Amino acid sequence: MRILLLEDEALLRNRLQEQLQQEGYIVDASDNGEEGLYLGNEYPIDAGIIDIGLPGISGLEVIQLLRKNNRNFPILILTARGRWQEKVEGLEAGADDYLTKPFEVQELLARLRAILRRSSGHATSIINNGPIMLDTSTQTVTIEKQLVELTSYEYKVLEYMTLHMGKVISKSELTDHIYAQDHDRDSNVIEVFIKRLRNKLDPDQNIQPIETLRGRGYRLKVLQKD
Amino acid sequence: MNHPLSINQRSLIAIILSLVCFLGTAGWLLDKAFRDSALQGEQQRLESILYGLLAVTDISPEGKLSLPNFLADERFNRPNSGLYATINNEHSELLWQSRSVLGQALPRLYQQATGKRTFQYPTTSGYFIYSAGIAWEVEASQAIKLDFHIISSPDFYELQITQFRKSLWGWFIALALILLAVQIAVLKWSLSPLQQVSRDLHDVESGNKQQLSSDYPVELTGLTDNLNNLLHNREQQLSRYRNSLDDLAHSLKTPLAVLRGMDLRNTETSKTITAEQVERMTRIIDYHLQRAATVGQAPLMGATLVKPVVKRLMNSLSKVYADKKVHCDIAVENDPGIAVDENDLMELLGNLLDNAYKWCSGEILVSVSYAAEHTVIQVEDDGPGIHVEQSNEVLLRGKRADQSVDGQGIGLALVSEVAHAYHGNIEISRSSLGGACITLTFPYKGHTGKILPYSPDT
Repeated sequence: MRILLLEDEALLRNRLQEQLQQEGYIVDASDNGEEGLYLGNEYPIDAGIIDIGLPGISGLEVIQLLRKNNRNFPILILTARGRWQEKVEGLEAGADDYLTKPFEVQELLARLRAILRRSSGHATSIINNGPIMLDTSTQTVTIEKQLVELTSYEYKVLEYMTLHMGKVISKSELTDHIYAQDHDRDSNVIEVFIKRLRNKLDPDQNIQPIETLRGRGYRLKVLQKD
Repeated sequence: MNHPLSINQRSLIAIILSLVCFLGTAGWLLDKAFRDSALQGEQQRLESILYGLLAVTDISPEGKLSLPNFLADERFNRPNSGLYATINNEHSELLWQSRSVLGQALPRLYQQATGKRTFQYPTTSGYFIYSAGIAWEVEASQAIKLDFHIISSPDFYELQITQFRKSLWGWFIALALILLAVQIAVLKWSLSPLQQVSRDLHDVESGNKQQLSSDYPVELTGLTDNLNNLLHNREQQLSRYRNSLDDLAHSLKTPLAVLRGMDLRNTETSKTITAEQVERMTRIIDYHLQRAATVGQAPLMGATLVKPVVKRLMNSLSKVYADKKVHCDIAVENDPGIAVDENDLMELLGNLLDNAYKWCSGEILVSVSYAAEHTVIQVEDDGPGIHVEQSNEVLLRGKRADQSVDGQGIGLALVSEVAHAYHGNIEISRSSLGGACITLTFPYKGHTGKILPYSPDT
């Protein structure tokens, strides 16, 4: 999952960036609206965390311009004042949730997971797909209530595919959302992750949850509940 | 920067212009009237001289003209005296001229028809000329035609005009100066209340006075009353800031004391205590900041419509609480608006609605009703509700923000603060929906923004 982080306070931005990266997110961070707008428009962003009080182009304008440009990823706004007027303006501009400073990082992560999940049309943090159950809040996966041990990258791939269940996802799309931009983009790595996921999710090859569409990518099947 | 002209300057310019116009026109008219009457006087004078001349003129039956050697009017006898007379016959041949004509070049004289009299102004010839064509009967049925010309230099006439003008404009300038002085005095007197206001304001500014005094002319009371209201409001706002700052500093001292008194050897407990106290300080700062930001009742405040504010909040909150399927109803009959600042109203309703969205199971009802003397806003939900003891505690929290506040606490305490800034009242009861019902009552008469004395019994 690729996160756009716009916060002008360096200390807070760096801390958030670290914590988000620890949680397995790719972070495109900036301290100003101009660059933020560029990142938001040009990169495959999954969600934004935007401080309302940015210097130059304000956070509010960034959100409005992104939305105008049909960039519809969910956005969480950070406000220092906590006045309702500001919150409402932010939400009206196109944000999806707000958080008043100061906040606990855990709270921010929970809100971020919630808007990501909501934007893909899921009402709770637990997403069921047949026997597979993915919990975005605890980042765990179970099959038939049995916990499946996944590495962080394997989880990321599965989470992205689960949030886009039934859709064809190309290898490069997966790479974009899972790796930071400077990463060596060896598409073989994705193939390896997919192979490992298939083995872990479906060792007996009964349900075959991940389809390969030659030349186009992969698709996570929408499975029937048994 | 270009300052606009002062009222003094404007009035002075206007007075001077109107004086010049008025006195100028009046002077010109008087001058003209005087000239006209002087001309007429000159004509009559020359006419009577002509009659005098006719009286001493004699013609023999042969047509010989005879006049005395010396005429009664001394000016006819003295050369170059300024008064001359000639008598010509019908062929414009000179028959007689007065002695004063001697050595004098007279203007050209024209023949006159019998019985005709003309009066020439000096504009064409340099002289007044009174001419008369007379048929002189010598015998019965025989008459000789004679042209009499009385010629007068304009010196006397011009002297008269000059003297008149001198005295006229002398008086007018004196009059103008007097009028100007009077006008300036009137102006000073009329503007003195404004100067008084400015002096009083200066006194207020320098802290010698709290308010403008109340005895101003009726034209200024609208202004001064509003200024007094603003001053009063500013005073209140200042004292609210001071109190907030004071409260903030004091309430931060307790958690700081706890942090200082921590046993640092016990790292686990220290961590918990630090986290708790940081959280507590955050809440304290939030609370006091919002309290200080409340605009509160102010003079000249317009009406804020309630429905659009509720709608905006509803749209925003339904995004934030998207996971919860909440049905929110607004019941407003007609919405004349209430005299509460829009930001403050948003703060009030934002906190109430946020709590409602947080605690409800799925139903929220916002109702607004305008009565003659107050406006009631109710926010109800179908959540767990608030107990009576709890509700009192919540409402008292305004004065004890440093205590840990849970759930609806901080929001409601703030709502209570803001409502009180508008002399409003907050009540917590149980809703027919099953949950909490928060009732705000404002002592306003609809959209007029007029503040009425409020008593909770009404």
